[in-house]
Amino acid sequence: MTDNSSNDSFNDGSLPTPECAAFNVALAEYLAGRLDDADAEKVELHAVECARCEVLLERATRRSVASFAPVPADDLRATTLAAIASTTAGAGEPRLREAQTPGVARRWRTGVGVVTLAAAAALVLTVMRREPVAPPGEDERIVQTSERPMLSDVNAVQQGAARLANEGARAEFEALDEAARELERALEAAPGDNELRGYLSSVRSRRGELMERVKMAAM
Amino acid sequence: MNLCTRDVSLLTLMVLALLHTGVMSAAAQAGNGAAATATQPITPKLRGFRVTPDVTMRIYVPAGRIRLATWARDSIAVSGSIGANASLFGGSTRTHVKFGVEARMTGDSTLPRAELTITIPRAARVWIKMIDGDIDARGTTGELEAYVVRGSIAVHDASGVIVLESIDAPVDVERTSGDLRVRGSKGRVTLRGVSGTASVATVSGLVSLADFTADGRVETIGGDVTLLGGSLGGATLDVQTHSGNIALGVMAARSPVLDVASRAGPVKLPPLVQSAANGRITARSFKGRIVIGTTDAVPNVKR
Repeated sequence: MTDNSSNDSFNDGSLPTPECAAFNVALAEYLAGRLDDADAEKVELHAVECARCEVLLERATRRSVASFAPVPADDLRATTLAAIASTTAGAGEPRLREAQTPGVARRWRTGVGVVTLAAAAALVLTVMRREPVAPPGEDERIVQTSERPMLSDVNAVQQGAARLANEGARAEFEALDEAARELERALEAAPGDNELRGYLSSVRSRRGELMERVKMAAM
Repeated sequence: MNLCTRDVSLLTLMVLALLHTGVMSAAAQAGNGAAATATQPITPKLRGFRVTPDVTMRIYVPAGRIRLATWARDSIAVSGSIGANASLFGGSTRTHVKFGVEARMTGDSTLPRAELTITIPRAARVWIKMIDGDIDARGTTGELEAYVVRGSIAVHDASGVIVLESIDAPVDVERTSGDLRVRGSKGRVTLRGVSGTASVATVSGLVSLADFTADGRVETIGGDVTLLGGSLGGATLDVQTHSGNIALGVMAARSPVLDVASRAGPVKLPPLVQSAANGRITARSFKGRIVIGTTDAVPNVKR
C-alpha cells in the first residue's frame, strides 16, 4: 500500500495529504473572506506547495473575462464633464460667459452637479456589478443542484444551458454526496486514517470540478 | 466581387453571412413555423482569413456539431450551416479570433444551432464550448480545450495540450500525445493509443484505456476503470475509485509492476511476471473490486 501519511511539504498532485484535507475544509472560509490573515496565508502557502490544491484554488477563483464589467477609463470624469460642457454650451466658452447671469449660472452648476452625480452613480454601479466569488460549501451545494443560482442575470439561452447542465449533474452530485457521507462515517470510526482522508479529498475535488463545469454552462 | 480574398476580414464576411442567413431565415419563418428548425448554409463561405500559426480562437456554438480540422496553412476556413433560430457573431485580429452563433430572437430559450466544419492552423490554440452538441477534432498540435454538457467529444491524432470537459457527453480520444486532461461526469471516457501524460476523472462515467502508454492518473467515484493490453511501455499509471471496479488486462509475460489494494472490495491478482520496464500500475479502491487478468481481454468484474 502506498503510504499516504507523508508529511512532505510538496505534493505533486498524485495523492492527497492531511494538509489537503485541511485545505479543503478551509477553502470555503477563505473564499468567503472569513479567515484571518494567518489562516489565509496557510491556505495560499499550501496551494503553492500542492499541485492538486493549487488547481482547486485556481478553479474556485477563476472568473470568465466576460463576467467582468469593463473598467472605467481613468479620465472618465474629465471626458464626461467635457462632453457635457460641449453639448450644453454649444459654441463653448463665449456662450457660457454670456450666460453667466446669477440665475443661469446657478442652473448650470445644478445641472453639472446632477450629471456628475449620475456619472458617479453609474461608476458605483459598474464597480458593484463585479460580483464577489461565491464560496463553495454547503450553501453552494444546495444552490448548485437547483436551477436558481445563475438564472437571475442571464439570457434565455444561458438559462436553458444552465438548466441542462443542472439536470445532467444532479444524479452525479447525489452520488458524490453519498460517497462523501460514506467516507465521513468511516472517518468517524477511524479519525486518524489518512488513506480515508485521501479518498474523501478526492471526492470533494471531483465535486468542486463538477460544480465548476455546471457553472460554466451558463457563462 | 470575390469575397474570399484575404483582404476581407472575417468579421466582414460574418456580417455578410449574417445578412444573408438573416434574410433566408426570416423568409423561412414567415412562410412556415416549422421552418424554425431549418438550417441555412453559411454564404459566402468564410475562407482564407489569414491568422498567425498559433492563433488563439474561441468558438461558442450552443447546439449542433463542430468538426474541427487542421491544415498546414496560416488561415481559417469555416463552412456549414446555421439554424434558423441562430445568427453568427464574431470578431478577429490576426492573433485572436472569436466567433459563434447566438439566438436571433431575444427571449428565445432554444439553443442556437449550427453545424460547422472549421479548419484551423495545426498549432492554433482553440477553445470550443457547446451545450448540446458533438465536437470532433482532428490533428491539433497546439492547445485544444473543449467543453460540452450533452452530446459527445471525439479527438483524434492530436498532440500538445488537450483539455476536455463534459457532464453527460461521452469522450473518445484516439492516438494522441502530449498533455491530456479529461474531466467527465456521467459520460464514458475512452482512450486509445494515448501517450505523453494523461489525467482523467469522472464521477459515474466508465473509463476505458487501450494501448495506453501515458504517465497518467485515473480517478472515478462509481465508474469502472478498465485497461486493455496494459504493457504501458514503462509508464506509470495511478487508478483510484470509490466504488467503481478496476479491471486490468495485462500481458502475462510482460506485466507492469502492480500495486493494488481495495479497502472493502475483493482483489484478484494472479501470478505474473512483473517488470518495471513495462511500467507501474497503482490501483486503489475504497470498496470496488480489483481484478487483474492475464490476457489482453478485460477480466470480468461483474458483481
